Amino acid sequence: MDSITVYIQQDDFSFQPLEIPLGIQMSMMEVLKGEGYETIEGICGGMALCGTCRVEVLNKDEINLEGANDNEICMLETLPCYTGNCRLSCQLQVTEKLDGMKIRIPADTL
Amino acid sequence: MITTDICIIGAGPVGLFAIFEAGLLKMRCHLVDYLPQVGGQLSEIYPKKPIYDIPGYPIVGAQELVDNLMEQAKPFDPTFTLGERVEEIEKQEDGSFILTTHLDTKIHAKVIAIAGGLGCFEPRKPAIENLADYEKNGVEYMVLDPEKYRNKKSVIAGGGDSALDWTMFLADVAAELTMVHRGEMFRGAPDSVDKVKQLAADGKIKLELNSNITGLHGAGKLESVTITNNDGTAKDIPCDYYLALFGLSPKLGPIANWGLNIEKNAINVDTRDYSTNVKGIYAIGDINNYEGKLKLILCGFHEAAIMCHSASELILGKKPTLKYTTVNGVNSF
Ligand SMILES: Cc1cc2nc3c(=O)[nH]c(=O)nc-3n(C[C@H](O)[C@H](O)[C@H](O)COP(=O)(O)OP(=O)(O)OC[C@H]3O[C@@H](n4cnc5c(N)ncnc54)[C@H](O)[C@@H]3O)c2cc1C
Ligand code: FES
Repeated sequence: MDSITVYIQQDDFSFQPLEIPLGIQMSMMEVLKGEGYETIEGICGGMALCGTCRVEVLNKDEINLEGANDNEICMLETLPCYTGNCRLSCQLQVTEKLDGMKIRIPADTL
Repeated sequence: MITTDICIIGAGPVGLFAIFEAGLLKMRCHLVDYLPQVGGQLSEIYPKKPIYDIPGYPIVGAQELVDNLMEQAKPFDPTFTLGERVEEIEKQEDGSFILTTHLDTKIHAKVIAIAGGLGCFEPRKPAIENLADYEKNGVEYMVLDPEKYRNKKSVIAGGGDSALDWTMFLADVAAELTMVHRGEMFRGAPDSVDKVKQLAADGKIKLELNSNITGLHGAGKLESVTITNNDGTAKDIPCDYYLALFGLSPKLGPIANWGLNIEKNAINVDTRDYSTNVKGIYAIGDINNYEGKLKLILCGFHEAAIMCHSASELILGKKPTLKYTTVNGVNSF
């Protein structure tokens, strides 16, 4: 496997596929910022300290995604907009485990 | 009215270092920050993290760097207005400025240096339908005067350091205190977590874990809140204040309204002196933008030094001479 595909929900609820090469040593936060998603700010640079990279994972039970560690959960739980599906995209390293992940990107910055 | 030579908007590391550079050139500074403490991103987002790229310090803690900058600025007697946001800037006929904060504090300054970083740290607000109706009538996002809560019934929501710290502090002040957190783990110093749990065990506070505030009620002012547990059960408890302490996030804020050239949430500057398109207003640190800009502390320090030389020329009408601190020392005011 050379690349994975992540699906990003659009305003009309359809999904836009995003192909990401494996082995790029990047987090989803960096990938999404690079793609120009402006509501993914990533102010703390990926240290799970700011929450400004949050995304909603819509199919977490269908894919092979690892759960959040305590550090990430603690940050997520301090966010006023937290739902059980929220993840910090900076903590999602691009690996084959993300293949097929469907996400919603928040409409507003935090 | 407060009067000063340079009014620095933002007390982050760059604003703090500008006090020192201005002081060497005999200019006084007054700083305004919306945060109740100095240090900007360092004290608000990562106080306990090490920084490795401050020249001359192989490693320095973020809060330690802020403390050192305050120490370095001390000889120049800076003054501060903290917990207030600069809302308006009015240019006077003589080229000076009057700045007004959201609490109506007025500052008269010859020059303005905007060191506003990523913008004003604004509180993150929970999504509760009628939240805005109770702002100023019981809903608060920051503790500025703890005495306000004396003998009142208060509810604190949040799971970070500020929620924990204020719970510990207000436990003895408030008539009744309930802490509500939507999880079970806290994002704060382990010592504070233990203390809060002990306060709950001793019956001094009520701790509602796995819960959320979902409703606000009261005629004209807050009288009670609904606490909903993750298992779906809900209850109303009476309270005078609801402190939503979900941390702060930077937003550009009022800076956008001051007639400056703004692109992508940053102010375009002339790299010769970091001046903006408005004469007498400079922008330094993370808030400015120019070709090749790096949002790093050390770049902000460099910008502060150059800005102060230009500001001195503007204020005194002649170019200042460059003096080494090794030769002249640091002559306090
Ligand atoms: C997690 C993390 C790690 C980092 N690590 C490093 C590192 O290793 N090395 C490095 O060089 N940099 C690092 N940075 C970046 C560094 O923190 C910033 O470059 C630096 O804080 C910029 O300083 P500043 O003084 O320009 O602004 P800030 O620190 O952002 O301070 C600006 C202040 O202005 C205030 N403000 C804004 N508008 C107004 C207004 N209208 N009225 C009143 N107050 C206002 C804000 O409340 C804020 O306190 C890191 C940043 C983060 C988040
Ligand atoms: S970038 Fe700050 S939490 Fe992810």
